[in-house]
Amino acid sequence: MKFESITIKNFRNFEDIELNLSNKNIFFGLNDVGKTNFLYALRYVFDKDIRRLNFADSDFHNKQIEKPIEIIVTLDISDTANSDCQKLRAQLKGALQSKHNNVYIKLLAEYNKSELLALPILYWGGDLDNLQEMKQRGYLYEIDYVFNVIYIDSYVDLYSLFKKNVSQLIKNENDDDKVVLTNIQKAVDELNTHISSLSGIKEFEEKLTPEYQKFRDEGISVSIKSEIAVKGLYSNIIPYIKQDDDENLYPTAGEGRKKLLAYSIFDILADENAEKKITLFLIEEPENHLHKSIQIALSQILFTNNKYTYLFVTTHSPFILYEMDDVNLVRIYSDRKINGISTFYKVPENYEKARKLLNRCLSEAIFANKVLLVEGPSEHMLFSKVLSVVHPFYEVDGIYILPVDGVGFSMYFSILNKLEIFNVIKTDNDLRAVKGKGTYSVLGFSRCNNYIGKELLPTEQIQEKSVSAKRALYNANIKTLDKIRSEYSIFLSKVDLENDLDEVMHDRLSTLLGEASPVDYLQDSKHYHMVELIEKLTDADCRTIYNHYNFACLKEVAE
Amino acid sequence: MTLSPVQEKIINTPGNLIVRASAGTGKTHTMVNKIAKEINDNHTHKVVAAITFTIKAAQEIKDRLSVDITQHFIGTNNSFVIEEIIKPFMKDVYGSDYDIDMSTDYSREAKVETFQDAIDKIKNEGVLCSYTDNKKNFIFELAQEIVENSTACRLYLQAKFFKIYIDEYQDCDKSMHKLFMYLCDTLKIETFVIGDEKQSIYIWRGAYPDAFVSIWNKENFNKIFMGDNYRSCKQIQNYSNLLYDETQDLYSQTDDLSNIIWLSPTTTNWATEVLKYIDPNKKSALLRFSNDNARIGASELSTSGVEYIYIPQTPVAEITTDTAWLYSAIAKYIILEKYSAYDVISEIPVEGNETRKIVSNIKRMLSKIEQAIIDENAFCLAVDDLAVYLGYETRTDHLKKLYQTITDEKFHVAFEAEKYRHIAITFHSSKGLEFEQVIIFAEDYRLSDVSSLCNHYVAVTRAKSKLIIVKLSNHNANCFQTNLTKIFAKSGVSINDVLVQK
Repeated sequence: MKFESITIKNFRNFEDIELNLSNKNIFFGLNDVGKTNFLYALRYVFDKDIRRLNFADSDFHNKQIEKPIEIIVTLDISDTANSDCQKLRAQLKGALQSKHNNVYIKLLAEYNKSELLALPILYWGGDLDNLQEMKQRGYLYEIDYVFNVIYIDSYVDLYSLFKKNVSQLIKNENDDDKVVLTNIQKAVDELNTHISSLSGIKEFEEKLTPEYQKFRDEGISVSIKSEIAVKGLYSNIIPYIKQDDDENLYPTAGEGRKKLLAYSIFDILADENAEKKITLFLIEEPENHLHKSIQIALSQILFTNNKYTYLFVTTHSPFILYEMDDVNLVRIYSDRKINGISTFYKVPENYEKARKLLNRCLSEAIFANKVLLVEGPSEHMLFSKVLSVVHPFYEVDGIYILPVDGVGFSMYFSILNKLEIFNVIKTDNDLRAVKGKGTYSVLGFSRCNNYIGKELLPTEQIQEKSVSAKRALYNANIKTLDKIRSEYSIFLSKVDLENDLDEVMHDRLSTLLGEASPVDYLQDSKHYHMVELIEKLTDADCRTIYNHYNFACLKEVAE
Repeated sequence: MTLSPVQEKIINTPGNLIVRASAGTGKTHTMVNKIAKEINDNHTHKVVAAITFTIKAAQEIKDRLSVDITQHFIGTNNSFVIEEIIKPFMKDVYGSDYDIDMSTDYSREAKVETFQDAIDKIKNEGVLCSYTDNKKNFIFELAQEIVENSTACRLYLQAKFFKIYIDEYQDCDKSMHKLFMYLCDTLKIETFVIGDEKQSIYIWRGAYPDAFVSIWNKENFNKIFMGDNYRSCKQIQNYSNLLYDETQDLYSQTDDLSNIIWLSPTTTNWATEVLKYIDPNKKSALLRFSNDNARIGASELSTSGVEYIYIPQTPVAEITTDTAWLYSAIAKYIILEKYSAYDVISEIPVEGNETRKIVSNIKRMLSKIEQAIIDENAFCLAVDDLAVYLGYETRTDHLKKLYQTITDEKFHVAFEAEKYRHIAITFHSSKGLEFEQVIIFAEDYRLSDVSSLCNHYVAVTRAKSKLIIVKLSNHNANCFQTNLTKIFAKSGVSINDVLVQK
């Protein structure tokens, strides 16, 4: 079974939104754009406990109660051997015909002015124009026999989760257990006998009863008992943590630990139903309370454990995405209205081993509003410095500088474009020797053409590979390159970082670095010497760089 | 009730299984225990289908199963194919013209000649009917067409059921057998069948006991024979085992032969003679082939000193549409003192819409029906109101049958037959029942064909401790005697080795 898409109409933030889905989905975007409401839309369809709350007028987009709320989820069930597809078929019965490969699940709610609420009505089937109304049994719809929703709040409370599900989690049904349970009961009785024989307890009981009777004389007496005797065995057990090399028990006090234990409990709960129902995990901001390292561990569990086959996560944390693969990235944003856009992301085969390297930067970038893609760490250092001077809050404004080294531009750039995240490319005017011919292909130009998708720049090979040849090539095409700057936000260097910087402030560089040829010096030990330079650059220097034609990419991304 | 070793074995044998179960061996008990165990052991979303021949048998399985059965199918064979195959998937094969509400009507007036006629009747009237030739089965022929031609239907059945249990398999006709074997062999749905070819009393309407035997010879089925009769005494078991080649080896001689009495009285003194051997304090039944003979027999026995109540076939029992349950529930509501509106509600078929079950409305409508009893027109209108409220349709001739059942007191006994100690019924209606003492007439069984042999087997095995065979002097009774002698001789046994002639 595969999630295909969802449309939401007239529900809370969403006037009318359509999104592609996959089985693992990550929803991100600024606060208050409706990520939680998006999960609510799914929960109204799949979670009986939410659905029975019905809809209030405030659930209608802008309180437009004349129009119905409509949510449609599309699933692909063409894989007939898949057991989840079979679970659906078994309930859909004749609503699914031989020619159908998709199942549509539709929720419709019309506002009833006399009842002051809207009752959700569910339909499903293989033909969107001719869906069957789902049969209802109490507040259960047919769909509730197929799906099981595990919703994990960002502030999940371990103890109440444990108590609520303790009877499902712990089953003492062996014959031997009966004996033990009888023994426990005896021990509890004994415990209470001991408690009530304590002088302090007796005294307290003797004082308390007449005090109570002052208020109300009902012929009762008050006695003090252990809670376990009154509420049963399970009221009194909670998880403790014992370290392997330590005999003492520790309460599961830390929020991080509690949260991981809670996840473990959800795991077990999902297993209980695994073969009978399709479990959907809806997880809200799992990063809360978790240290970076634990977030990364959680990321590993969510994206590599096949228990989480159907996953819908909202998050603000790039660490949760470090292990992402085969995942649908959904960016929810607000322009004229709340909108969403999505793209499917699969770690390319050749990056399987370098998945973290690739994902780390991408995870950061997709949370940004604007991304500046640069060649490597030298650019990253210099541009961060310049922006932090000119635009001290650039990170707060959602500007992210992404060095693509080792990965290349196209991987990032295509995902960012699909998610409609504004990005600026700053790349070098590279040339590459053609084997055996003594000529050079114009690699930088080809790269630009490639990103644009059109042959705007000439690609004839040239005869020479020198700084001046590169400059000449640039100047010969400056009109086209300027057009590419303004229309596509792609900024080609005249030569490369060091030479372009040298052109801006040769003398100043020489002074600062104490070198006659700052380009050679900087290129000699790139990383180390760039750090040295950055420490020495003044605010005025930074402004000079910022305002120069050669580094206009900075202005583009910052303004 | 505990389980015998062979019952345990049946319950614990996985996969396709056929069980031959002689009368009185605890068939229903075993099947219910097997279903309960296998539902319990199943951890997937899939469910079972338990298929019976009568609504009563389906209800009995539901009542006896203590596990949650809401998602499982338990019902008659016709409702199985109608609800699980025809209604949902006919449109998939025959087109959207058949995406309609369907009801059933197997009455004589609705019968048709050909497959195409029956298809047209669905399209034009939304009615599923039967063939004039009652040996052919339209419902199952149609279901077969649909299953073979609808991928969605096949995938549905495979996705939904992990096992199908079929009771009284010897009563299946050829079309039913074909479909059930298709589900088992082609769709690979595990199948459990239980039955007894010795009890095939429905050959006259197309039942095909060879089907049962053919499964016994299939390689992909485990086979278990259940022969220990827990109902009848040893002597009656001996008698019934000797009737069939398959069971004759189970015969073992008994010294006391007082459990089976063979009488050769006259047509005038038979009742007095019979009563000499009947213990009036224990339950007894006179089983006859025809309703008339049962009625006359009851009156003659009553005149001779012990009151026998003839249990007639009621007019409402002749109704075969899917509204039939409602007529019978209304009849019970009016006739039986302890049958309340809640009992009526409990009989509403599961497929019905839950929201239509508002108790107060149904109560009000039922009491309106009761008040209208003096006026046939008002009565029919009131019944129709309730039927419409519950989503059903009434028909004039059916309403007439209901009115007749309620107003003619002679039918009332049929609704509480278990109240009477001594009854007279046809042996067709005795299936599944048991009595301490049973009186049968030799002339009802010529024993010259399979059908007659099965009838005799069923009648004989209703008896727990006493069987009285009345042999008058007429052609059919003489045939019985000659043939019985021959059958017993095959095992080297004479009639006098198993019974006492008086």
